[in-house]
Amino acid sequence: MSQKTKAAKTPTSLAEVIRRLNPNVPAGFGPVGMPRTPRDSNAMRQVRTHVTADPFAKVLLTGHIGVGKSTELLNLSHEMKDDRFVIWCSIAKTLGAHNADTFSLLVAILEASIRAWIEELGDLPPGLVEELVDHIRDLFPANKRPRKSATAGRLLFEPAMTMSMQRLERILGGSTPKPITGQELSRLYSEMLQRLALRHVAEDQLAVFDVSSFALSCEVLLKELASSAGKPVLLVIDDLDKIRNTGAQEDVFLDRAMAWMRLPCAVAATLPFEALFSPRGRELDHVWGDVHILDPLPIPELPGRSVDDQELKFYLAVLRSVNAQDVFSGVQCRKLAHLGSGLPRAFVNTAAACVRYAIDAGEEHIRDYHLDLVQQDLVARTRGRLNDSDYEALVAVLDTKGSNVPKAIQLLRDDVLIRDGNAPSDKQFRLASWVEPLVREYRSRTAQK
Amino acid sequence: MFMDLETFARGVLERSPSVALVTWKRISALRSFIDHVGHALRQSRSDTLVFKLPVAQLDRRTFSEKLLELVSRRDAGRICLLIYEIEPLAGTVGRILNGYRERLASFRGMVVAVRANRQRDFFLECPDLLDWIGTMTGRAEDLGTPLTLRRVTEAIRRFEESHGISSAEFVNRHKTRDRNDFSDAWQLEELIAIKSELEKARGT
Repeated sequence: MSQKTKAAKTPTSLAEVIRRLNPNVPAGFGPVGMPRTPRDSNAMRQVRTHVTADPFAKVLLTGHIGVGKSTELLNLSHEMKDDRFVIWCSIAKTLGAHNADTFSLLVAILEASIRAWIEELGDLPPGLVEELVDHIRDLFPANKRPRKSATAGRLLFEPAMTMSMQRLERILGGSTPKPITGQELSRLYSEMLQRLALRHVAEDQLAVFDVSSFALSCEVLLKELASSAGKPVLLVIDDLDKIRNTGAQEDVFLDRAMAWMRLPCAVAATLPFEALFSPRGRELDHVWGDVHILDPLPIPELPGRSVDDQELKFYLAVLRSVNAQDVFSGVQCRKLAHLGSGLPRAFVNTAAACVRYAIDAGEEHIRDYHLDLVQQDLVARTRGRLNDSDYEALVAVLDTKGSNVPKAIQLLRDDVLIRDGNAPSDKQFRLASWVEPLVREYRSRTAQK
Repeated sequence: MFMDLETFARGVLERSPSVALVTWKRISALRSFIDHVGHALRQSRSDTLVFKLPVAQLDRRTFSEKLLELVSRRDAGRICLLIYEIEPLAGTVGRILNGYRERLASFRGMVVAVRANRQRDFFLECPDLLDWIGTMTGRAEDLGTPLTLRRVTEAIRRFEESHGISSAEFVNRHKTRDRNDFSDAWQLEELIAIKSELEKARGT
């Protein structure tokens, strides 16, 4: 019997399972992530069709946090690798979603594009680097500098602003040589992103910059990249769905959307789910046209019939992908799927929590009481975070079968209220599993009154 | 706008100052244009010196230096300069050419090739040069693929090999109204006709 076969027959230890149950990176991201489990999705079929057919398609993908948007976009980028030059731009990694606005988004796109160029095609032509450096100079054009006034003087002498100007001056002909190679330019953009991520330049100071030059840089760079690569570019921008600030959402997706909508490449980006239900949500349809919602997975019934239930298959496959099929029984998998409320990340989180409990207890297998403990933890964690007005909003949505969602928009964002487009129209909005007991308590409390 | 290479070459060399713009979408069309335009220019005026200046790997300073070096030559008046692969620094090239516009008049002619999706970036930086370009424009896809006798003969040979029939036999069948039973027979007919015309033009 070969070593490999011997290893396959050894039961997987809980420690090995918990190492592999990683909900923090998209599935399929490489050795640190879980393998991706294929799923059927109308939204992704449409995204794939559009991006394949149109080399300049602009599509937005939205859905609950943890529903699998990053995983599916990552899979799309792997699938399109032969036909497109794919650039993966993760806002959370480089900038932080809380720092995102149109200006910083353009810098992130530039940084990701140059890095991808250097990795796949070698260094940039020196003339192109010069052009892009010229655009940086235009960031702070002389005719847009604040006039000499008391306010402007204070602005100019703000330490962060002064440092930025000094840095620019050093780069553009001062004592430090300006970037000549693509590597040096990439480093410069990375430094800009770091400064933006650390809020090194205040918002009122950022307002002085002319972002149109960075938009022009993106256009030029992407055109040259497509020409050098010999195929159209697909830009995948992840983590824009994590922008929580309404003003930033409107800036990026509505007010200054044209800055990146006109890029000469295909773009597939994530969109905050609550933006669809916000007061300006309808404008998104006019501006973007193509917004796709990745729905939660179907949830198997409790109790179920057998492990062959269609709704259970995905969850069993996820457990199998991390060799946890010996650790969880079919019934336990069903309960986990229910606890996860159709969100793959929640499923993986709850599975990992069960394994942690089992390891703490010195068990070799998951027991049913581990799942009960995890469920209690979820309910307890949510209990302190919801107040009566939240419960009222939830009940208003449920009882009106989907009306009044704008009142519960924060709860939709936080995955307390789940929207499932695959469900019948009068049941499209439901509660996350860990909220159901709390809403039941609220209803009985208010009924008693 | 020019649709064939010969007329284009004549047009470039007839005017003074002469600057022409050629746009392209396919790299193969650009390559073909660059390969053939020198010959067409020399056919039009045999003492023309054709210099090619690919810009892709140059920076602003080096491009300027090379341009000035050429424009300072004693025989600049015989030079037709081809500038291509300008896209990485399209704006910069436009700015430099616009700035040196008067000196460029020393050349017999100049042709700038730019990819279609960057021509706007080039135009924005050379408004004065655009006046000189005027209608001296063409597309590499139109200009870049002249049919030479050699190419047509080669194409006919490949056709003969693939279908196992000589062109003489093909023509005989056509004359005796026997059908040539392959779907691309019309292509061989066209090629044979073009070969005949080229041979006539050559005087063979």
